[in-house]
Amino acid sequence: MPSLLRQARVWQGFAALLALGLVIGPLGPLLAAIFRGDAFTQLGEARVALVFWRSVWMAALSAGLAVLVGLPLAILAHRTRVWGAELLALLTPLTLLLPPLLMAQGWNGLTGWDGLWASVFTLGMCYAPLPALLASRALAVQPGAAHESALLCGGRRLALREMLTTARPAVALGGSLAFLFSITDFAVPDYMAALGDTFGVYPGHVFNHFRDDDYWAGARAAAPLILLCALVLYLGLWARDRWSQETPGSGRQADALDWGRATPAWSLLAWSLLGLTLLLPLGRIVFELGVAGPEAPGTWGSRASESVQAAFDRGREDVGRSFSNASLAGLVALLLAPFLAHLLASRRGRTARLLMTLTALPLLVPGVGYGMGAIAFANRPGWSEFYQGTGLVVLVYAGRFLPIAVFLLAERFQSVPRSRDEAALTLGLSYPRRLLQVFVTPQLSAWLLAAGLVVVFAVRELDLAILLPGANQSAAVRYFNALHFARDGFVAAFGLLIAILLFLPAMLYAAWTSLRRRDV
Amino acid sequence: MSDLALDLSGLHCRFGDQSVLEDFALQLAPGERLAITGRSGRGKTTLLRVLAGLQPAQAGTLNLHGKLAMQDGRQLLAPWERSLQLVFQDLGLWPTRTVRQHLLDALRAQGLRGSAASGRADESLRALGIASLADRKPARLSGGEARRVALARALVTHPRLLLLDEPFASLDATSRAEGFALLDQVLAATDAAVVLVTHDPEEATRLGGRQLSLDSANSPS
Repeated sequence: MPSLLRQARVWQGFAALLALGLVIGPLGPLLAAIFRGDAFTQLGEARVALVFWRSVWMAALSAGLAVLVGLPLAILAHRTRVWGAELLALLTPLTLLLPPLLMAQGWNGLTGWDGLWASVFTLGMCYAPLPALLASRALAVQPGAAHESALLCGGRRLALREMLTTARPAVALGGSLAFLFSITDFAVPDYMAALGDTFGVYPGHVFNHFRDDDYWAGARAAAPLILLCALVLYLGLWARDRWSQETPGSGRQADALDWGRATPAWSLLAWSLLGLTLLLPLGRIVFELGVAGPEAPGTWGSRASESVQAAFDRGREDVGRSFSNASLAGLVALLLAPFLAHLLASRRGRTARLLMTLTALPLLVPGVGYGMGAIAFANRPGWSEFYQGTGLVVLVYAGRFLPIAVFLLAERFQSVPRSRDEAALTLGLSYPRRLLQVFVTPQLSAWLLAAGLVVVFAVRELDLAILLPGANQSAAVRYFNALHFARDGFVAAFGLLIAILLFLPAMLYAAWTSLRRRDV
Repeated sequence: MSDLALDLSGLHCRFGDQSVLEDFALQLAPGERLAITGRSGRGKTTLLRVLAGLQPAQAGTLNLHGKLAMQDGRQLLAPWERSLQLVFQDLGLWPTRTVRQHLLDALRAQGLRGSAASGRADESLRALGIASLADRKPARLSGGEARRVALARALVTHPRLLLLDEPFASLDATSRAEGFALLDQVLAATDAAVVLVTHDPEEATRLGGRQLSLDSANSPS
């Protein structure tokens, strides 16, 4: 037995079984439909097929937009000398932490846009930080020598071309992630359709089965989307691996590009792009805190203050419940993610891509489809306490967002020199100790961030929360209901309150890593 | 039953279409020293990793101290069950552990705890001249100090076979001379068999044992 417990595969297998236990309920009805072969029967109806293909091209346009904005943002924030580059780099990923519905509110308030195109634009801006984030990670490891030789041979133009080549694999993956987050989103198209010209998207078609109380049909309807998303993710991973090139380097990082007299123009462009993805919609919501008709009493400031007070008073309990459920989900991720991340990090090529796609399955389903799978699984005689309670919510959230923690950690684990692990292996350290000592402890901040992201994504999750009875009294659902009911100061204040709380883990992580850098 | 420290035969190692080691054989008596030389890409590191059980091979049988460790290329003994230690080219130190903890971790993994482990660790630290660095982490060590720590960690468990993967590859001439002086001192105090891989014939000669070149025999041209 002691020898068995030293084996990585025993611990990883156990963690994988637990993770499977978390997701098999919600995913079971979908996967059953795929294996039975009736996943595509609904697509035979012309109306459903039309909605499906509309979702596909809408998501493709959103993903294209995300890449068009995200890639330059990454290069400008991370590899050029623009004004406030550090702040720019810090703020860029924050959009990902916000509920997309909040961004929809901001953009609609700012421009008055609604309908299908507003949905495409909003989702594109929401997910632009995905290619930006992945591209910035790729650019950060471009060897200094490669960058400098490009500068010497061909000036800034060649250096820029080299950066684009370096970032290309990451952008391909970022674009595919933007596609699958866009195609599975229900709340933004639903909101934009409610405001303007009506149009349907595929997650809406899935949600319609919830209205009919036919959860099994809803889960079955989501099945084609999970297959499409799995394929897109696999292709994104394949493109990343295919285009990635091992560049030998001394480990010295490349310097930021100096644009000389053109620096103000590039700085303006960089901050404008961040304006599109974060500052403008968020600024609009701040403005809405105290906006009112001409006859309204008080000043903007006094009304804003009242709105904030109302958000605290009326939303405090929902926010508390959201965070307590999400924190428990984060705790589950904290325990399971290192084992699964190590499993992923130690694989390469096709096996790694397949494992990643399998791991990502819970994220590849629209939230409404995952929720209906959970209901179909848990809404049964004798289970009502579990079905109505928060235990189901925690397990469902943990299962759905565990892949985020696993991917983040796996990426960090891959950067650990192999010899550190092999030294521990040769010396005979037990597997949990090896994992802790070689991988987790040196990446402590990433480990906590991974769990923090699970908390954030669980709090911002709306599509699932609408469906699960135990999650109905949550911040996301209160915000959704309030927004659909009115566009007053309370909605703005409550949205901002959620935003600030969701930003906290990222801010704490940034502060921690900055302090640690100073220590060194 | 063989009483050789290492008895390897019929080793085939391939990466994709490229064959790195073909029908390679090697024997090493207890306490014997062997320097393996060869240009980059000749399979020196691969050979050490196979011996340490860190990677399988396409074919080959390996006995370590009379125990079957690999058969038909499949590793049968876990790396920690082989009574050997490997000093990695990039040392493989753990960034969050102090120098002393590196040694204690190695000893605890062998079942040695408490004052016995502390005593042995301190003894090793003193022997390698790094007792004053005991509470430092790798980031605060110089290259030479880090090298001593890696050697101390490998030797503290009294391995019967010590594998050294180009331990002085990235050093300048002076540091290399210092490194070799240290190695001489370390090897004088151990009765372990030693396999040193290097691309430098001078280092191979200095080890003072048998020499084998992967550029010619038992390897693809």
